[in-house]
Amino acid sequence: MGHTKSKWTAGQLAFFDGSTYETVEPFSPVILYDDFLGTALNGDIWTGLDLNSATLTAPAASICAASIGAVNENAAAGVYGKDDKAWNVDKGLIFECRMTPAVAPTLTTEIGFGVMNDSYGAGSMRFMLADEVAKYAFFGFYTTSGSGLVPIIRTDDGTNDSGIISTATTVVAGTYNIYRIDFSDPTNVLFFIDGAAVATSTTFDMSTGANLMVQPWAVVYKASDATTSAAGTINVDYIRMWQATR
Amino acid sequence: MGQTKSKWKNGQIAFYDGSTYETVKPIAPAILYDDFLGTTTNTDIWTSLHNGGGSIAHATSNLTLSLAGAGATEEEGVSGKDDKAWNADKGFIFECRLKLTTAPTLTAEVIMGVQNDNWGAGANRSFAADEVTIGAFFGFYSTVGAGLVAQIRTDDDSANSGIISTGITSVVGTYQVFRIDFTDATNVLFYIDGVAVATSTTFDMSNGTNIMFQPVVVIQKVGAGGEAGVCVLDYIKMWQPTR
Repeated sequence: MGHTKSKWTAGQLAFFDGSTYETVEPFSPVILYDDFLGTALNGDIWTGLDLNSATLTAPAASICAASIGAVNENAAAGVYGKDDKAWNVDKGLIFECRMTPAVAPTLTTEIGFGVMNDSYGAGSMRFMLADEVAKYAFFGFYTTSGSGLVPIIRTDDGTNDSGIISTATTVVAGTYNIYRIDFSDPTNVLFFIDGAAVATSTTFDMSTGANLMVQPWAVVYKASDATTSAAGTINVDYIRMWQATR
Repeated sequence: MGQTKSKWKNGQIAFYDGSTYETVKPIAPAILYDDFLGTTTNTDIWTSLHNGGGSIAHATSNLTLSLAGAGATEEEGVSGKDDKAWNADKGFIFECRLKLTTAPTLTAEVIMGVQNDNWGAGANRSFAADEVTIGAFFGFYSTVGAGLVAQIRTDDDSANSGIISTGITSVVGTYQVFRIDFTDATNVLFYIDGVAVATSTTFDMSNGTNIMFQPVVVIQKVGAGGEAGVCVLDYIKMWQPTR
C-alpha cells in the first residue's frame, strides 16, 4: 500500500500513489476520470465499440473488458471518446490508464490505447500492422513484439511519424500496469509504465500544427483477414486525463 | 463551518471537515462518491430498492426513505447493483451521512454499510434477524434505545460480532456521519462524527481473502403492519487506498 506523494509537472500539482505511481488526484482545470464503477458504461463520455462479433462487456467490479474472437472479419472492442476531441496537446495534456492485455493479441490483432485526432473508422484503425491512423499517440501491443506482451509506442502528428518503438518492457497477461503519456512538451512527448520512463532514447514529436485536439482511445481490434482468426482481450481498470491549462 | 484539515491513514492522505469530520477529499485510487444531487438516482451505480408500500424520494441532495407500515415486506434504499468492487483486504472505507426523521418501530430496521451478499429482497436484515452472511453495518432498530441508539454488527461468515451498541443516542432530525474503516480487516473500526465507537469490541472481517463488497443503505421491515420509520441519506462515499 503506497504512501500518498505529490509532484509538480509543468507547474501543476498532482498527488500520486508512491508505490504504483498511479496519479490519484491531479489538480487541473480539466479532468476526465472513469474508474468504470457500476454496471453500465457511461455513454455520455464513451462510445462503446463491439464491432461484429467483438464483445464489450458491461463494467463489473470496476473493470471494462473488451475482446475479439477468432472470426475472420473486421472486429473492434473497447471505448473511445465519442469523436469529441476536447483535449489539446498544446495545453499540457496527460493521458493515463491502468490496463492489462488479459489475452495477448495473436496474429493480426492489435491493441491500442492513448489519444488520437482521428474520428473512428470501422476497419481502418490499425497503427502497427498498417499505418491507418493519421494523428495519434498510442501505446500498443501486437504479436510481432514479444508475443504480444511487449508494449510498443507510436506517435504521428501528420508530419513526424516515430515508427514503431519498443518499450523493451515485458508485461504479464492478466497483470495490470499503469501507462502514462505526457504532453507537457509536445516536441518531446514522454511515455511511462508504472512510473518509469520508457523509450527514452526516442524523441516523440507531436508539435506539427497548433492546438491539435484529441480524444481518448482504448481498443482491441483487427482488420478482416481471410487467413487468420486472431483474438485478444483487454481489461481496462481506469482512464484518467487531465490538462494543465485551458 | 469547520476548517479543512488533513490526516494520514495507512500512508494515505485525506482532507476532512474539522468540525463534522466528514471526509471531503480522500486522495485514493478508487473513489465512489454520490451526494445524490439532482432528482434521479444514478442507476449506473445504484439499484434503487423499492419494495412494498413505502417510498424513496430523491430531492435536495438527499434520499428520503420511508416505510408505510403496511402488512407486508417493505424495503426502501439503495444497493450497489450486486457489483462488488470493494476489497476488504485493500483497506477500503465506507462513509455516509444519515439522519432519522422517524425512528424505526416494531420490526423495522435501518442498515448502512457493506455486504458481500447479493441483495436479498425480504431477507437482508442484520439486526431484527441475522440474514446477511457477510456484512458490516451500522444500524437502528427498536430493541435498543427506542430505535435511536446506533448499533453495529459484523459477520465474515466465521466471526459474528453479534449486535453491539455504540452507546450513542441519535437525535431525530440531526445528521450524523457514519464511517466503517477496513484498514485492518482483523480489526474493523467504526466512527460516528469522527469518534470511534464500540472500541471494546474487535470486529474481525478477516475470514477469507479478497472478499469483495458492495454498499447498502436501506430501511426495511418484515412484519404484520403498523411499523414506522423514515431516514434521510445525504451521501455515500467509499474509497480504497490501493488497487
